[in-house]
Amino acid sequence: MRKSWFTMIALSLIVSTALVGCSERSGGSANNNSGGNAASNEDGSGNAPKTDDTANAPKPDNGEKVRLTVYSTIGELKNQDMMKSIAADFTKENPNIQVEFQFPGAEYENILKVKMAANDLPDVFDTHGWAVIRYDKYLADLKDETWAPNLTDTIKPVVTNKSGKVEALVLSEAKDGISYNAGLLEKYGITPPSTFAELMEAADKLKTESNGDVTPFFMSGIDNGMIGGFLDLYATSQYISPSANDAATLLDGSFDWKKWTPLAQKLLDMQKKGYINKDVLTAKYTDMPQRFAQGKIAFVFGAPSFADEVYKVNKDVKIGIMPLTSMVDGDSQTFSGGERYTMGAWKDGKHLEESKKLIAFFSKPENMSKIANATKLPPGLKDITSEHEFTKYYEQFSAVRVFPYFDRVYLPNGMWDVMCKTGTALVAGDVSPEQFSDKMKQEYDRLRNQ
Amino acid sequence: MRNKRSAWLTSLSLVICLIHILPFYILLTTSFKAADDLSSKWVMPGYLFLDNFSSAWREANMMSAFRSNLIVTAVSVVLIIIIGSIAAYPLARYQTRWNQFVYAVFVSALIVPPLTILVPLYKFMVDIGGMNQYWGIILLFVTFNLPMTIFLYTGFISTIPRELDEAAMIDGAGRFELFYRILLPLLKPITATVIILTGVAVWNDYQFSVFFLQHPHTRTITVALASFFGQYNSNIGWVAAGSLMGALPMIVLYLFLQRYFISGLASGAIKG
Repeated sequence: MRKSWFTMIALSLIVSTALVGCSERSGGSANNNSGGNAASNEDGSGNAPKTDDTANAPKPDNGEKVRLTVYSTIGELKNQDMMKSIAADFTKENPNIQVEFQFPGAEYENILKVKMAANDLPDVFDTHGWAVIRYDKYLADLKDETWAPNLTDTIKPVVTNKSGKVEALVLSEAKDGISYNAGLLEKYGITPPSTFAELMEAADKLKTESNGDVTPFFMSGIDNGMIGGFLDLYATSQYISPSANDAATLLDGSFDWKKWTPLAQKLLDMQKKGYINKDVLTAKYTDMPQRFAQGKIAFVFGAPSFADEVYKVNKDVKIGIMPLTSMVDGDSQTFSGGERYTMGAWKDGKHLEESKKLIAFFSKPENMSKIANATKLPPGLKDITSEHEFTKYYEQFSAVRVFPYFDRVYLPNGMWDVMCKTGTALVAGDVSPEQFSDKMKQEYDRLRNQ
Repeated sequence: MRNKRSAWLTSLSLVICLIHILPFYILLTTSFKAADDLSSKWVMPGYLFLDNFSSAWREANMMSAFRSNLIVTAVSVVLIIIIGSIAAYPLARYQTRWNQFVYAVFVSALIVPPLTILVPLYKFMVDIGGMNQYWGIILLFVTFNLPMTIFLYTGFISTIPRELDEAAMIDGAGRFELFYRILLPLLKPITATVIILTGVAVWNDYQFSVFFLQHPHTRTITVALASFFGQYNSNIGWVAAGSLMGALPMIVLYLFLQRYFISGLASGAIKG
C-alpha cells in the first residue's frame, strides 16, 4: 500500500516533469515567435508541429532564420488563407524569413491592449482604425517606404500623424455607406435613395407592401456598434458634410449638444415606426446575414463585410452598396471611411527591417489586387486593379466625398462607447432624445478635460 | 398530502433538469445542422450532417488543441493536488496562530478576481519567458487554483480524527509516511472533488488561455474555437461541434468521479 502510493506520486511527478519539459521545447519557439524576439529558431522547425498558420520556408541552411509574427483582424477563413498564401510567396523569395499569421478573432482588440500595456507587440499587426490615435507610440515610421507615396488621397491623412509619420500600409480602405439587398429593392420598385427622407419613404414602402415580412433596417443592441455606427455615419451628414457645418465648434469644444436631439429623434422614429427589427435589443450582428439572405432585411448601415456570410446561406442574393443618404437639404451624399485592414510594424520589434520588407511585399500591385478581390474592399494604394461584385459600385461612386469616421476626429476617446450604449438605451426606451443629448454633452465635456 | 408534495418536488426537479439540458439540446441541434439550414434551432435536422465536426476539427487544429488541453490540465491538476494537500495538512493539524494567519492569507486570495491583475501578470509572464509556453499557463492555473484546493483539503483533513495520526506515530510512522499511507487514502473523496473542480476549470479556461496561449501550436480548445467568431462572421455550427467534442472528456471524467465528488464537497463544506 505504502509502496503503491509512493510509486504513484513519483510517477506523476516524473510524468509532469517530462510533460513540462516537452512543452518547453515546442513552446520555446512559440514564445519567441509571439514576442517577436526570435533570434534563431534552431529547435522550432524540427519539433513544432506544422499548422496552416505558418508559411514554412523550404529550410535553407545558411544565414540567420527569422520568424515574424503577424496579427490580423481578418476573420473569414478564405481571406486568412489568401493572406497566408501571400506570406508563403514572400518566404519563397526570402527563405530565411518565416511568417506566422495569427487571427485572434473577436478578442483581437483586448489582446492588443494587454500587449500594449506590456510593450510586447507582434512584429506586424493590424491597426483596425486606430493607427494614429491608439498605436502611434508603438508603430515604426514607414514614410520612406517605396509604397508610401502611393497611398490613396482619402486614406493618406488617416494613417499619417501630425508630424508626417506614416503609420501603416492600408491593405483595404473602409468606405461605409449603406449596403442593401438589390433584389428586394428591385422587387418593390425602389431606386437606391439619395436623401434621408427618401430612405424613410423607401422603408415605409417596404414595410407596408411586404405586410411586415421585410424589416427595412437591421440593428443590434448586443453588438451595439451597429447603433453607434448609424449615429456615427449620420453625424457626418448632419454636422460635418454640409457647407454650413459644426466641425469647428466640435473641435474647439463649444458645440451646442442640443443639436444632437434631432438625430437621436430620427433613430427613435425609425424604431417607433417599426423600420428596425423588433428584436433589436437581443439580436446579434451575426444574426443578420441569415435574415439578409432570406430577404427579410433591406438595408444595413455600413460596408457589406457580411457578404460572404450571406452567400453561404443563399448564393443568389444581390448585394448593392450606396453612399450614405444626405441629411441636410442641398448637401450631397457621403461615405465615412478609414482603415479596414492594415499592416503596421512594431517599432521596438527585433526584426523591424524584415517586418518592413514583408509589408513592402504585401504592397506589390499583384498582392494588393489579390487582397482587394478577396476582401471586396477598395485598396489603400493608388492604381490597383480589382474585379469583384462591388467594383462597379466603387467605380460608380468614386467621386463621392469620403469623410473620416466622425467619432475618431470630433469626439474624445471614450465617447464611442457612450454613443453606442446611450443609443441602445434610446432604442430600448430608457432615455429620451433630449436626455441622450444631455448625456453626450456631459460625457463630451468630461472626457475632453481628461 | 405526502404524495402531493413529492409530485410537486418531482415536477420541480424535472423543470430544473430541463433548464440544464436545454442548452445541450441546442448545442446538439446546432452542431448537426448545415449553415444553410434555416430551420428553427429547436428542431433536430432530419439528416445526418457531420461536416461541422470535420471542419471544426481541421480548421481549429483540434488535434493540437486537445493535446494542449491534456498537457495543461493533467499537469496542473497533479501539481495542485500534491502541493495543495501537503500545504493543507499542517494547516489543519497544527492550528497555531501563525498557521491560522497563513490559512487566512490563502483563503483571502480567493477574493482576488484574476483578471484585475491581468496586465501586471502579463508583463511578469513576458519577463520570465512564460508566454505561449505550457509551463507558464500551468504556473498560473496552479497559483489561482491552490487557495480553493487548500481550503477544501484543510476542511476535510480536520474531519479526520487526530487519534489516527497518533496511533500511526506510535506504530513508528514518520510524518510523510503518515500523510501518504494513512491520510491520503482517506482523502479520496476530496481529491476527486478537487480533480473535478480544478480539472473542469482548467480544461474550460478561456480568460487566461486567450492571452497566454495565443500561438497556434499551443492554444487550447476554447481559444481555438473562439477564433471562429469574428467581427463580421461566426461559424456557429463549427463552434458548437467543436465545443461538443471538447466537452466530452470532462463529461466522462465527471461520470467516473461523481460518487466521490458529492461526498467530498459535502464534508469539506460542513467542517471547513
